[in-house]
Amino acid sequence: MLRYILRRLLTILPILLVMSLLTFILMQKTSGSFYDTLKLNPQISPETIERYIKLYQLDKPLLVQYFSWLTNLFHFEFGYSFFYNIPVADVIGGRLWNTFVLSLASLILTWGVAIPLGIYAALHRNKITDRLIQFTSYIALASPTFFVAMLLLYFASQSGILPLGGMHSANYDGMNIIEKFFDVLRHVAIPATALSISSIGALQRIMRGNMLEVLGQQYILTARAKGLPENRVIYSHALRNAINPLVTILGYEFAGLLSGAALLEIICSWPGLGALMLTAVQSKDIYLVMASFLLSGFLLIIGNLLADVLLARLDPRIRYEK
Amino acid sequence: MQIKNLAVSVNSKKIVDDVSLTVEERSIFALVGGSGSGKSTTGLAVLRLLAPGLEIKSGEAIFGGRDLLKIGAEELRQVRGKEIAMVFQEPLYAFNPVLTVGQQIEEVFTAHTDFLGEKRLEETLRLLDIVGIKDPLRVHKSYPHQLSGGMRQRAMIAQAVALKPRLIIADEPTSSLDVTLQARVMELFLKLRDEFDLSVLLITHDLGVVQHMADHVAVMNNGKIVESGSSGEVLKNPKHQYTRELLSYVS
Amino acid sequence: MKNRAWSQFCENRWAVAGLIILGIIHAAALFADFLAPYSFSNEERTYSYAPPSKIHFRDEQGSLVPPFVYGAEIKFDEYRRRIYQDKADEKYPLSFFVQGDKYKILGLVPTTIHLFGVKEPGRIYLWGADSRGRDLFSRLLHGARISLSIGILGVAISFSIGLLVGGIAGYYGGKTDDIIMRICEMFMMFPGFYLLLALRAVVPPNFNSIQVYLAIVVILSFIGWASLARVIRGMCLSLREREFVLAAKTMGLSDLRIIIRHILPHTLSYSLIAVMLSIPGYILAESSLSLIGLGIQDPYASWGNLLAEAMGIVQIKFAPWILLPGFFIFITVMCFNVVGDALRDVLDPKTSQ
Repeated sequence: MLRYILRRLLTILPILLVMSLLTFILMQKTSGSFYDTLKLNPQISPETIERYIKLYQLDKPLLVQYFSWLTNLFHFEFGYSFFYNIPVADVIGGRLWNTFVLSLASLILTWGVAIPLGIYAALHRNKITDRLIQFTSYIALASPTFFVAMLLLYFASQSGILPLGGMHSANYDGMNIIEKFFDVLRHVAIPATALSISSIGALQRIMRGNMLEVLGQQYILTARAKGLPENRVIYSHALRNAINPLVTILGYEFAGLLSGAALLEIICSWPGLGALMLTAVQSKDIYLVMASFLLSGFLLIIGNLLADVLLARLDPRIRYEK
Repeated sequence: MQIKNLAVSVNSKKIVDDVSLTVEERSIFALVGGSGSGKSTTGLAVLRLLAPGLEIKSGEAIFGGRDLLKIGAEELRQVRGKEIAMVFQEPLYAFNPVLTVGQQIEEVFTAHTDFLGEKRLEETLRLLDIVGIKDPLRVHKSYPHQLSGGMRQRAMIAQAVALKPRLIIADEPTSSLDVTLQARVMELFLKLRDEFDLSVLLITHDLGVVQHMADHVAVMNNGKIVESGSSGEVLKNPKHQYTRELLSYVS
Repeated sequence: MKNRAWSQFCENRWAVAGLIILGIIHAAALFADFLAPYSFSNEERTYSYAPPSKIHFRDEQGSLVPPFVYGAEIKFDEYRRRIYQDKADEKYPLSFFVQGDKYKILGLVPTTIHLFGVKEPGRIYLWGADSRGRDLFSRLLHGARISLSIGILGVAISFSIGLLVGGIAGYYGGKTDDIIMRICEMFMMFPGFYLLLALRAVVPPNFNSIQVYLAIVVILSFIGWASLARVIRGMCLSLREREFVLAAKTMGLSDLRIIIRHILPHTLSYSLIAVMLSIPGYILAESSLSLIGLGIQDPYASWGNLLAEAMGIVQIKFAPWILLPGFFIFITVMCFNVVGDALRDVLDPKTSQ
């Protein structure tokens, strides 16, 4: 297993390199030389400028610059953000965590709602409740996340129950750990719900389909013939087999999850990686763009790997070693 | 066990029509027919395990003084696995792929007895040993896909006899195995019948198997029993054209 | 075979309804300048956030008259917000085929005739006005042009690339296949929205509106082709072993011709389904980009940048009609999904649930 993970990580390394090189060159070409921007910025002290010119060899050709940027990556030196006037690493660390919090909240919400709904729908196939669930799911599936978020924000503003953006209340620092948890929970509610609505629709449909397929399998018949109680037939025999394929889907879902999270971070002013990327793009903050972009790819890879590992744990038939 | 006038239909089309048969104690009763003849449906109908859409229209299945087609769900559950067990054709699909074979056999004890974990393990290993598995501990820990076809079928039979049922309904138990294995599994059935005092309702298309094993035989075609009697008699003097056809495939 | 599929499709009433709605929306986009009473940039700032005009069919006495709208009297409340009231003495009859802003029918014939409108200085706001007093109905129709065409153009380009590249990879196999698939993976290695932002970052800031529009189309196609290429490649890998390919080879046809004429047509039904199901993705991507200010720029309208006005909570409260573009995005996505699913049921029964 460990070897498999290592091999996977090794194969994606060249891809990350090529991708970073492309963005690097393109950005330098289109948004003006980094060297000039740095020199012209009166807010940055001459010492800092001197340090970064040396660190990134900004007075050398583009390729040399790229490679010095690359080698610096290995020292966790991601470059300097003009917009924030601090090193990129200082900006990005907290943002990464925030994106993780939002994605995780959405993932829990999606799975927590979609799986039980899918099971219920499959067990009540073609009854009125099932039809209602399918109809709602279809509508949810077509709802644009940003629009849902806007509607939710509007209703929140009318009712005043939930905060209208951000991640913390003003008095967050004075709270104890439990209060902090609930404060973040209240803030994450709207973006996470908006992010989950259409995924719930999709996942519910897949879960229902899987469950129906599994319920028709022979081993379900065997389990019933053994005299197992119906609950056990469904929850210990059918459920695991119906959920396993979803774990594969989970791997694919990460791309959509991170994309959706980025958009919602912007709309709900959630201080995550996506919102950061937008500011970086708007202000042409090249090192910040590069770092956010590569990190998003890295997050996706980690997510996919986790899904693979999880699947191997759940399904005894899957072994990655050859 | 006695089946009386059983009729099963799908979309109001009858696929089992007026089937009656009696499985004597300690005997092997073969229900023979081609595919689509309704023989498997008959077997499943007895334990009310029919797929959704298939409906029991009429009939009785008397077992231990009760009509299995009328008793309540909980009572029926107590019969399934404990008094009547089933063995299916393709053990690869009949076992759940994500649970170990041992876990699945032990479930029978969990469902019907109050055996504790250790006792369940002990009993399961004993059963695996009885059905002729050399290395019970390994098989216990294995997942179905890790075993050979013959081993899987033995494990499936071990699961069926776990609680010494009085009847086993075996639906084509040997057709997925090769010829040498078929003979061994059939021998196992004979051995188990003597050891556990059980009767077998053997559902098969293979009259060769019937010849060696069955005491009684009934031939089904298009949902109806066309001929029945003691196996020696039916096989020697087939009266119905369809039986003769089936017989012509054996030889 | 085609006819059977079509009649099967028609049995699905939802799908037919979806197709009809899509037809109406696309036709409306095509004839936007004729159907809309105003051009997309026609603004009248005094009418900021004017509510939808009521069309009256009866006069004060209650007798039936030709339809008309009242002129508006604008007052300010204590927060300096506009309050619109009907002026009882100012009536503007609603007339059809009226003179208005200049435009060209389908970009060809110059004219000034609009389907309906009212005489200046009266204004008709069927679905209300935005912050600068532009007619939302007109802007929605013009926005449909951009939003829908970006979807269709983007899909057309990325599918041409995806089909060709996937076909080549699948047909040749081996090293070619390996390299192409690595490149595909490169595109799928990043979350789409981040890729979108990164690519948007390399678009020069001095582009004009048309260039930005084209840049968005290119970016979207650039992101979208990879996933299709992978699937097409899988199909071609199995197709190239079939006899008709061998036959074509023995006839001495060139590889490219074999791929385009003999292999790709076999992926047609899959592609058709995939097209239907991926257009919503392009529409949503454009909307998202415009919504956060990186897409189509004012005064040009797209559904995304129209919806950007609704980002403020105060505006939604006092002018809820600015949410309409969101409903249009929703309805369009929904219709494409319904039609795509129905097509899949008809053309590819084995993959549908």
